[in-house]
Amino acid sequence: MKLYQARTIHSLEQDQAHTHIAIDDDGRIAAIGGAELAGQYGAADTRFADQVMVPGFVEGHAHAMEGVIWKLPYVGFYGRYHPDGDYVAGCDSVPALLARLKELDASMPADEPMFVWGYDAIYFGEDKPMRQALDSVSTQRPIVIHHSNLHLITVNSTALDRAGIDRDHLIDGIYTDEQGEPNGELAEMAAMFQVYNAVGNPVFGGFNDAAGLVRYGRSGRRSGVTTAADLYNQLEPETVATMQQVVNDQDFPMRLVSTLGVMQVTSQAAVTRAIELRQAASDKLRLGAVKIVTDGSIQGFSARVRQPYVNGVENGVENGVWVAPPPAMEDMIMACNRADIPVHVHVNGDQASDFALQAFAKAAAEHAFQVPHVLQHAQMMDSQQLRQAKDLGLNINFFANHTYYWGDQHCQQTVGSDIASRMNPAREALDMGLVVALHSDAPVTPMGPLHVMWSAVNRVTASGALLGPEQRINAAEALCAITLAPAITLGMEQEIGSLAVGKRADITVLAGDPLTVDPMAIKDIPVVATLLDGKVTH
Amino acid sequence: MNTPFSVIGGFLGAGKTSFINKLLADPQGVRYGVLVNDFGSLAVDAGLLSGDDRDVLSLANGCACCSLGSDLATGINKLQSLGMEHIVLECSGVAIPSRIGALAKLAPNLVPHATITLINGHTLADLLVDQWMADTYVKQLQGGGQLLLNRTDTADLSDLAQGQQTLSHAGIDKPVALQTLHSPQQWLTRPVGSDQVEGHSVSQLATQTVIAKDLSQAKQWAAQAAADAQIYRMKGFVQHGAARMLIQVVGKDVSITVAPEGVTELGLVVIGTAKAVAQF
Ligand SMILES: [Zn+2]
Repeated sequence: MKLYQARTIHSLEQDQAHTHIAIDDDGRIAAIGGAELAGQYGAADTRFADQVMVPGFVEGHAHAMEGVIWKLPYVGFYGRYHPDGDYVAGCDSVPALLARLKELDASMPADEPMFVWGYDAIYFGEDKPMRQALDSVSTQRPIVIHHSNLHLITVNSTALDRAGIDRDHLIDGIYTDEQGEPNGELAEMAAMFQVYNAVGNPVFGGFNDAAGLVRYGRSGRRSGVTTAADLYNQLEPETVATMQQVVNDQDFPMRLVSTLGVMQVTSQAAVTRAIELRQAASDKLRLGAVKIVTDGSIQGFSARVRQPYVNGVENGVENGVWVAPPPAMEDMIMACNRADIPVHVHVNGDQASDFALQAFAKAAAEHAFQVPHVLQHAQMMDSQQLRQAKDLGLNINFFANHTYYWGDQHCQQTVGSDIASRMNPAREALDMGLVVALHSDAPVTPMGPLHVMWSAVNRVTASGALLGPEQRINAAEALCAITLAPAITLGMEQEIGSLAVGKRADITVLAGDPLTVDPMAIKDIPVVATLLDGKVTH
Repeated sequence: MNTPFSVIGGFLGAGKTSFINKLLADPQGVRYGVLVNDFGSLAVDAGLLSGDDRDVLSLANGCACCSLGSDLATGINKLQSLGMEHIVLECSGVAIPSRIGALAKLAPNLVPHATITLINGHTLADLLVDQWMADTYVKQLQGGGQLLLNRTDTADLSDLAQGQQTLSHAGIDKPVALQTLHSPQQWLTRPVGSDQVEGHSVSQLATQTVIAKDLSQAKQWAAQAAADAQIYRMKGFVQHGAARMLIQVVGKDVSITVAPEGVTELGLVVIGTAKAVAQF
């Protein structure tokens, strides 16, 4: 038995804030209360006596790729923390980006290709760096910049030469300059693979990567996460074996919920595999749910939207794209529901939500839901759609960080300010009584529930504009949306998500109180420690 | 030796799998390697795969982390190393086949061959107005290479005429053929769309530059170029509102995309036989 004392403990249960929490030898909460517990459970450990305890954060939608991708240097617009704790400043101008690349160039063995990640052209407009700019860094080695959406790369002339790409190419997706010469930007597989074939791609085979998983654990731990989803994984037997080995190790600092990506199998195969995967699950590694991706992303102009994009012109994707035929996805949703397999459905655009709601309505009519199903991202849902989701008993996990990272771009370039100001409508969804979780989709945006919480409470964009203030939620609601609500979406609320007697002692220790601090300071509260099953993680 | 790479497109129920099964059942001496990239698609008939002269690989659907690309490149390599003489890709029901055809460039020694899109005559009209699929379906057919009306085993030429009419009502002015007129092999024996000028050396081809007054005229020309077997290629730019659009015609496939930043020159370059080019 172990007793901890804190300045404040927010249990997220009905009762008041506490100061003492007792944890039994199995890592379960034995009691929660005030100083009176000291008499009962012995002297309190006071190392966190000046700090604030909250339920361990639950990141309900992120990807283990967040750990894998950090094997490459980060060159994104905004600064980010490396899973090991170092802050990597953002490359927020072309000179800053080129300076970073030059630094890397100087530190690498000659002729080894350079791969970097995190770049997003949407922030650079007309100034975005092309082949010539990268040539100023090196013409000795190939340079490949992965855009953050993973659908584009920008490369230097050396990479183009090695791939044999010149003005006479006949491949879609190789962009050219005024003179008809390839400008270094390559879109989609056919074009990108010319380069990968010639110079390699270190991110391939990313699912089965023990070191990447270890980094994912660190990334979660340093941001206060005690349970993280890995929301699309092919979960091949070798990958599962690697996961078991890494995650079940007592030093791995969090629980991992890996969902089976089912975009390449029949519904029958998906059901069989999902049920089979339950056998491989453990206290720390949760398996057995599936993930369907219906559409693309809003900032990538590929989410399925009812109204064409503001800048959609005739680029061939006026209303976005489906990832798979809607009837096949409907069949998948119905088959999984019939087998009581939880389904996470990625829906970004409003039309994708329309489709998912219709599919779930058919599924519910046939077999009442026995397990939680979740609309993931659900960014453009309108009032009627939210009401339908509520009536059906679906849960929602909003992509709250979008407001900050792309809110300005959504107003100007994608869906316009009317829709942008009600994207991720947490206020309205909560008022309707929906379960509302909030997520980062790391590595799409940085892992960090406090930032996600901050974004939903303040709805401020990167330029400082207030976007849709009527959809703001208060700090207590937002704290619930990064703890108890995502635990519900992952079917784990009996065990985690709040601090109650009998639940697992998964706890996040903060240097400040997110419920009383200035709302604009929530994202800057330092994470002091996390406890998993009552043990301080390292 | 170059290996031909063909793409079979079409929505669910268009008959892609049975088309491929028929092909494999009577390969007429060609060693076909098949790649399947369709969500929820039933496996190609395994009974047809015994023996070492054919192989089928199922691919992940490229929705996460470039898996389609890496799987496809690996799959193509594997089929080539097995000595397959013709690689056929059954693509996803929402794919635009002409774009998938470009993936032939993934591997050395692979040349784009036929691009075929199968149409289920019974569902064509409904799909063209489907609440989720209408716009995607139009693009699929426009970029579908040779369109084949399938699933009409009892069909005659009047069904074909009706299908053609349904297509043109939807603004798709591409000729459609009856699948049943030939065996699957025959549709694959020669490249559809890009073959007609094969054999002409570059010096025999003529080039002309024309300037379109607007996007709709450019589209009209592109359709004309696509329909004319003597036009080998058309490429260039046209102004459209504040944007410039890139028009490309290769064989029968037309693509219209937003031009990259910095394009200032407008005009379409047409390449083909002198007689055909002179019509622009
Ligand atoms: Zn995601």
